[in-house]
Amino acid sequence: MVGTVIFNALSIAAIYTLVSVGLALVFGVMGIPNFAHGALYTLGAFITYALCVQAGLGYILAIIGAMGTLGLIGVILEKSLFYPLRKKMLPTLIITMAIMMAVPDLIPQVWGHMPRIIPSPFIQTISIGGLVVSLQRVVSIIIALSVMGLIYFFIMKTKTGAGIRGVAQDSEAASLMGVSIKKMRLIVLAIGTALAALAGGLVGPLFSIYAHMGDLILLKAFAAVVLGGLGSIFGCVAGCLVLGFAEAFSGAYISTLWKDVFAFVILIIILMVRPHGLFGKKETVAKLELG
Amino acid sequence: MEKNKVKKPMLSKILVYLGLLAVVCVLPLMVTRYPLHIMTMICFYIVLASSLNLIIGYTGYPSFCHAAFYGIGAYTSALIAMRLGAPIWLSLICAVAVTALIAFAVGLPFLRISGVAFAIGTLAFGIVTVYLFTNMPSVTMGAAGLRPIPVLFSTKVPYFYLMLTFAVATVLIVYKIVNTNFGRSLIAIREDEGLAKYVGVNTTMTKVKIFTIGAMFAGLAGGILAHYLSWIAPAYFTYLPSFMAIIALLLGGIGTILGPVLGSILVVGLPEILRPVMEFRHLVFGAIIIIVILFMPMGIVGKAKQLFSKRERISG
Repeated sequence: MVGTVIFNALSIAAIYTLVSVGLALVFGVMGIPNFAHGALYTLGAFITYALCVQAGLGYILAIIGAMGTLGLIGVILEKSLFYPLRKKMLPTLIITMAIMMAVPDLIPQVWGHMPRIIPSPFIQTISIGGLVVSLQRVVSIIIALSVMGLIYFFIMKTKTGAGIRGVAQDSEAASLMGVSIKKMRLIVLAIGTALAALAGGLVGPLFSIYAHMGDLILLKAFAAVVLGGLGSIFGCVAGCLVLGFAEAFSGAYISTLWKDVFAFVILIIILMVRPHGLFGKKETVAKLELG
Repeated sequence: MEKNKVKKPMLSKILVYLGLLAVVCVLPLMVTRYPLHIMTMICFYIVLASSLNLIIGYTGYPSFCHAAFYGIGAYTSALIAMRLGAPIWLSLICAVAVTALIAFAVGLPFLRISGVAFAIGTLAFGIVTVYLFTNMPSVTMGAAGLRPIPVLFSTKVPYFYLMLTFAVATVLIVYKIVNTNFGRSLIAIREDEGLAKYVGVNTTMTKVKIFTIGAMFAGLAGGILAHYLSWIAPAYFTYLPSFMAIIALLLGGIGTILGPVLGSILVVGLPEILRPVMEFRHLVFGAIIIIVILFMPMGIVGKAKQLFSKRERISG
């Protein structure tokens, strides 16, 4: 029993990590919580479905295709909306909220009102050391781990990664050092939205996909990002692990009725004790400017 | 940008507002039940957005839990009137008091945090509140909601006049608050909190005070809503109405007196006008928001002010 619950916690944390790391990266360069991220996750899941079932590509190819498509959508959003408004944080915030409201209305126009399941070749269960688990969840955990490894390497060890860190810390100073803010933002937006699509594609075979699937996970991913400490990728992963374990254990031992609320209760408690989150630095608590 | 100048409103301006108000006052005589309901809901949103303006627009703290206070007010008033059989004026007073207490208790720790962490923290508080409404069926009847809540008036028309009065009063009180020393200290906090503290503003108490005052408006609006609809459910108070109030604020013009009024008319009115495209009205609504914000990032009133001041500069 405990083994299954821990495994479930890890697989929940894996999906949350993929969603919230994109959110944290985008927050780093844009300085705003991107409310459109959940809608992009939903869109990623449905495009995976379209490529997999309607176009007849394989599951893996479909996910890669969805990541590419969403990365492109991220670039278009950045070029047309976010970049022109880059100095105006609250207006940008409202635009992301508008996207969050608009996309769930778009989905039924294309894919109908029925919830759908993405067929996956990894749907069978396997036994690891006496623990019977779904292969899809194992695959999700492995993919999340490798993606996190790649992101860590990219952000910490490459020149572009250093540029992104620079923009996140102080965009003016970074631009004086010859870093192109425009380029860094584009790269981060593309990576972040592609990761949201990946998470959507991985969730599709486990749970049904529907127009409002992105709402709750977006709010939880926000909780994880703030919980871990804004501006800290490591904190973001830690936040997702905390939420994954809280959810799996409360769902198994307390009540499934309350399992979704724990993320927010934990966030509130942590913010009371440590306003800058578990691993955040004091000065990274960013201010939302009006204009 | 001028910020702290106290301007005496011109007599002609006041006359224009009074004229508009008179038109709004006779409107209920000409419309049917449903448009009247929409007009009443616009008044509710004017109260919500204007009071939120004090917290977001003037103090610079992006609160995402305004609908939670709206809900706390509604549930308090409804429960006291239903379970204890108290007269409605008393239950409304209790609603304001309870909302103020909770806002004070929440604001005290939360307002130490700023920016995005504050936004997400308050969002989390709003979500937890709705979960409490939903998951305590013995008290709140759960997702099905509370009904029947005793009503104030037997017809809907008096509610409109009540809410209109409340909305006008809110706008006037916000105007008054902003033009006092207290209001100027709010703006000082928004512009530079460290400096505000340095020149002697008790920033913590000022922030908690304005957060509580803003919540009290929402609480009273919620209380009236409960007796107006005679049925409330947790779904009315999720993060979406909080978002709507924020969107109304930004569309109309944040940090302006008339912005929330214009924004509320748009946010409540537009989805109704879009009824013919019911299936994807949120899509169209979202697109309209994006276009308005893209061309007028500081909202309609903000843009108008900018144009006006430009013309003044050229002619002067």
